[in-house]
Amino acid sequence: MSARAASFAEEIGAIGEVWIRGAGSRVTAPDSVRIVNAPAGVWSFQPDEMTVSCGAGTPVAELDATLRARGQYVNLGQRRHGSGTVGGALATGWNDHLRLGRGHLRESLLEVHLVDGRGNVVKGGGPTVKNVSGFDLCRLVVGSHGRLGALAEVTLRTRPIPLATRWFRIDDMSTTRIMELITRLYRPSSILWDGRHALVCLEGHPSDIDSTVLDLRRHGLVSEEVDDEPNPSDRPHRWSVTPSQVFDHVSARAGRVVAEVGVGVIHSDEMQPERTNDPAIIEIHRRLWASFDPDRRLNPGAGNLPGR
Amino acid sequence: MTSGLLDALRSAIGPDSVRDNATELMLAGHDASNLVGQAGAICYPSTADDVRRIVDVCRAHDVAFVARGAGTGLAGGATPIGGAVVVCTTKMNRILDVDHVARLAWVEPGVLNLDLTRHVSRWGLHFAPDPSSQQSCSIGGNVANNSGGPHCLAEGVTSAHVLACDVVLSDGSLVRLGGEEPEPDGLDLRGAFVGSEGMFGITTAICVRLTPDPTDVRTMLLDFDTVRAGTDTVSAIIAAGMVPAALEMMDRLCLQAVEAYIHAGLPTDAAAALLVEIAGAPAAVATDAETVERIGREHGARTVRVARDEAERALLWKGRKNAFGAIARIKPNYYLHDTVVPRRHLSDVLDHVYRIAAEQDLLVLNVFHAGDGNLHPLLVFDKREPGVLERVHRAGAAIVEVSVAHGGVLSGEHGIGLEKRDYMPLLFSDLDLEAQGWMRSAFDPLGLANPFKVLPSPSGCGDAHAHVEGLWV
Repeated sequence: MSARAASFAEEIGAIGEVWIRGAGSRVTAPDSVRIVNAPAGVWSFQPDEMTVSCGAGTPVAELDATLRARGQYVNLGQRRHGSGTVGGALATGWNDHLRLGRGHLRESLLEVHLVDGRGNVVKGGGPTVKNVSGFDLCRLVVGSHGRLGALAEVTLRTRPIPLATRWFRIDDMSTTRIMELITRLYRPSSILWDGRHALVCLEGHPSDIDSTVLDLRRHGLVSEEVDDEPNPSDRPHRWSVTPSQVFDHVSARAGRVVAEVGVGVIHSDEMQPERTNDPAIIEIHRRLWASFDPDRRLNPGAGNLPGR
Repeated sequence: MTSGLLDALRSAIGPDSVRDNATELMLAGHDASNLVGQAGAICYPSTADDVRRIVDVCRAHDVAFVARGAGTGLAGGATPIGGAVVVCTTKMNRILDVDHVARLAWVEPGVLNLDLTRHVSRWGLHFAPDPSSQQSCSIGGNVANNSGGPHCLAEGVTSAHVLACDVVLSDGSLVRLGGEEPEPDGLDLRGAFVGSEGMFGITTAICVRLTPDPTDVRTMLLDFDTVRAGTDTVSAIIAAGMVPAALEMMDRLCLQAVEAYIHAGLPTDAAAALLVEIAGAPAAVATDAETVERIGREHGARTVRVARDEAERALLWKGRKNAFGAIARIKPNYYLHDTVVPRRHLSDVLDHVYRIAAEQDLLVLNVFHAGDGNLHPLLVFDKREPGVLERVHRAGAAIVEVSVAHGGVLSGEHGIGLEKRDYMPLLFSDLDLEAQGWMRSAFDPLGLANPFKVLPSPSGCGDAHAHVEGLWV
């Protein structure tokens, strides 16, 4: 255990409610709860390992700048919020609209040191890019809103920055044509569709992107390059549906929603109706809270999590 | 085994689906390791309901159950301890649904890994995790072990390809962990379940992500005068900002054994060879292939052989994936290790591996996933030689210790099971292990699902812990 994690644990202690503050870009701290800040700083970046270790309080922008200098990035859903801290990104687990190509941000977390509700430092995972030693605590931590434990330090998997990232707009996109588009593209990074037109993100070698665009044109899918990256998250609500439900959902609301095709996120002005959770699933959550934070003192009220 | 339990199992799922003859019990008493346990009965469920009924009977009789896929595990994860009921999923082998537009499929746990890829190849798709045992291992087993394979360097291991699991818990409830939808409520219980080695419950259906086949593939073989030149090339390739589809290494003894077996024209006088595969879109593949060749030559590659066609590519991969079969030409038994180290320490750790083998008077071959630092030292021996097993175990322990000492981990893809359970404290503190115990208890507070694995237990498990003998097949 590092001295930084130990001192963070000491600050959190074993009693009383605490709120771990990141940059406050995603969630606002409640009043009347003691606030602590996670360690910040990039400790170790190994370009030839494609790993980086840093404090959870490190600003994402600082981490991005360090990695960019060596042509790498880490997927933390930056495009959804841009700013914030590494710990905040992992604790919320919020992906951005490049998830189709870049995967879920939970795949970025290799090792975590967190402080549990008793004030103990607990480690999960390991520093290597491949590891099946023990149960996968890292997956559980991403999206836990800091309520299993306060994130202290993490090791993350980095990736090479694609040679090019380009956006294209294709009009007159019916359900049939959007399905054709999906099956024609090798590995798009994003397909956003509002029922009328699509915005497609292609990444990789510039010549490959040019070839893809030519191929689409040959099949009547004429695209026009757009300069500005869209931000579907400017709509206030997200729906989570299966990728196959997207087609009917968007067709019925053309122009009023934007879907991440192939993923199943729909950006909307309306809130998704609350879903009911299986009681057995809620029970598993309850047992986890009872073990990791028996006094329910970490980040009280954060996240809408079952069993809390 | 009490007749009461057997009767209850037979009445639950039908007499033909419950077996207890001595031969079958013996076969179910171990996986592909030879960590031998004792099965009380073997059940062959056909449906999720069958699995629930079996679990209900086990709970009523306070008997543990152990899920078993194809039995290809290498760490004793499916080895039943103390008369546990083995729940063999081989009859649950249906591909339930494929959505080739959304690129996902629902499968039962007994579907074989390669069978799924063969089935979806008509749409230009495949299932990315490709363990060397992919012809015979089951997807349920892949989920249990969070399995890897050569092509997981670029694509990630099983967890990244599983969207949902339907799971029977030890209390008999059937739950869905994760989902086809991208943002299910709550914690990522799916992610916790993948890699839980059968200790959280039994999966009855799995939703997997399918990956589009690359449009271009370039497979190259580079050979070197020293192992270090090869491993330095690996680091330089990654540092150049490239993630090849696969980056595999074979050392001299391995090259010689494989060449005698497949006659692929492998460089048997080289100290090491790298098998590099670049996959993707044409321009990216061409550029990356040039970079790999340049980096290889800068690091002293003697030759760079590029597979000219699919036949040559298949031959090179046959050499890699069948390396273990070729080993039998040297000695009849082998013990395969699996540790991961940071890539930059590959050379130093391999030096230690050769030294350790020499000290124990053993032959060692190395054939491994160099790209992600995943070592697979293969100790070959003849178990009829007196005292050889003790030397094999000593060497194995030393390899694990040296890997961890270099910032590595216990296992990259085989799992902990029984084999590495007692090494867990090398990597984790008591508090870390306690937290892993909490995860298990959250899913299985009764402790009936595959007990005695993964987590070292200071007491209370009695003789079951006494004979972890290691792996020789």
